[in-house]
Amino acid sequence: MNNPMKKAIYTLLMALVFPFAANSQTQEAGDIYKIWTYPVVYNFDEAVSWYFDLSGTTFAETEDVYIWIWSPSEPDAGNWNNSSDFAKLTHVEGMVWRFDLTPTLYFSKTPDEIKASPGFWLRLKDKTGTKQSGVSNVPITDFSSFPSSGNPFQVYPAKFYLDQPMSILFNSNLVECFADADSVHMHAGLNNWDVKQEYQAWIPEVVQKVQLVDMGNGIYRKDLIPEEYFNTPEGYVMNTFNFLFVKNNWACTTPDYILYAPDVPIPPDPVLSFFPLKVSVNDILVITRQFNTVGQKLKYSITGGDKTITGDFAGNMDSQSAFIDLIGSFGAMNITTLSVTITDQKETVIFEGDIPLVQLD
Amino acid sequence: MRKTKLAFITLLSFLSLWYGCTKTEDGVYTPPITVYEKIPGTWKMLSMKLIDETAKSAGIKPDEIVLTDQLNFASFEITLDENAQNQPTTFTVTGECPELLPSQGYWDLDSQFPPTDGTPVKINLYSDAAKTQKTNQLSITAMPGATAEMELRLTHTSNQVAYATYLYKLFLAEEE
Repeated sequence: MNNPMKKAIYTLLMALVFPFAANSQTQEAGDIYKIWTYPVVYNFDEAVSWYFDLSGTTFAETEDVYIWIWSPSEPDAGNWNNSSDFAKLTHVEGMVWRFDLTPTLYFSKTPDEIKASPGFWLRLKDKTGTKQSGVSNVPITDFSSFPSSGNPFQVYPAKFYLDQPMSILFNSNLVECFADADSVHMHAGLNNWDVKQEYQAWIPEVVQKVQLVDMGNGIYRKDLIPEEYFNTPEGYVMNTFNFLFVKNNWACTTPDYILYAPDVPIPPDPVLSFFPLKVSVNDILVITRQFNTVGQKLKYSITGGDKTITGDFAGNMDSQSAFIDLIGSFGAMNITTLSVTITDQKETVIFEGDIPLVQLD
Repeated sequence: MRKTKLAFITLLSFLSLWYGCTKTEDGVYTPPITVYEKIPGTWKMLSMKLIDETAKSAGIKPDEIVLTDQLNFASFEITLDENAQNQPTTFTVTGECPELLPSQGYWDLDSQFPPTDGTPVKINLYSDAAKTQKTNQLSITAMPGATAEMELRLTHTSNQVAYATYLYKLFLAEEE
């Protein structure tokens, strides 16, 4: 029998058998409304919190709630009528409870064994087993494909929200200079840096807050809930999540990365073009960049021989252009290339390179 | 007698026919209008375009960009002077815009009539009065006619291959 099928049958059996196995006096309290984890992504040998929203069930906010879990193993077996303290949930607020565990320790299983199991199948109950929730399972976010995906970062879940946990994975192997990092930190903001959580390397609490978890093999992870992490004002609407990763104390950084909140249309990638395709010192050069980010203002610096000219682009977010009179600046010079540097208002280098010159007949 | 009369009338009418066909009544000889008569004066900027010939021939977009409102090209003016006999003398270029053309010099046309094969008449610009040092050549791709507008093309080539064309659309501000 293949593995998924085995899992399916096992799961079905569990779901069918256990309700009847429980005390016949047990009342059904209703299904668990919502389950999530923090972090969203974790190794099974790491500490994690499972959150359960029991809204709509007959559990009361003041009630002690216990977990009864039988897959991947059954730590509290035989104690249906008197759940152990280690199976007790912590009340968070309202109808939300939390269960803290390190899966390998709690289930006495290796990460591989847990991975091969049908998953985390459970009910929530009161201490004495007079009341139980419906059968449910804690979702596992599979990130095994990330290291080989070729992507330097990935957000989990793909649809992330201001008030919900998210994990960003970072593959430092793909970014030059991150090898042998002692620590990796995140410098981030929302809505194109409208609100920020900067990496202030001189403030110990901030250093700790923005530090990524080292998951081994060059993979790092940042876990957060945006509204808490950025301390956003009430009613804030998140459109973009802007970030970059920093090695040690700003030893080097990744490029600027951006995540678009769900339902925010993803703008096309910027397009930089030089016009005309061939140019001499006796021509007009037009540099255009389409699809800039909000508030981005570009400027150029062009060096030919021993002369450098600078200027600003004009236009808007959609398209900005610089019209450059090469004749007035370089017309008299016998040169074969121009060195062009384009930066934005934050001194981020947009382009750095040489453009060859043709000789006018 | 009657027959003779008829023959005489017939002869007379043939004679008058011959006479009428050969008599020239065109008045004084007028030479045809040359391009030199159409273009003297001061021409100001209507619009300016830069055409990327490399992109155009490769089918890459964009292949043209409007320069009219950039780099003060709107201030461009060129004056083509002629003497009393409609022969070209000097030219001057003014305006606070990039110096694609020299600010002054001498000029003539490569042909005083539009060639029958449709190729444009060209304005040659020279730095010397003897017209031996050609600095630039402008093609007249739209000749002034009912409207006093002219289109000039300044094509830049490298190794004999055109890579950029500056397209001037001008209007006559002052006639000579």
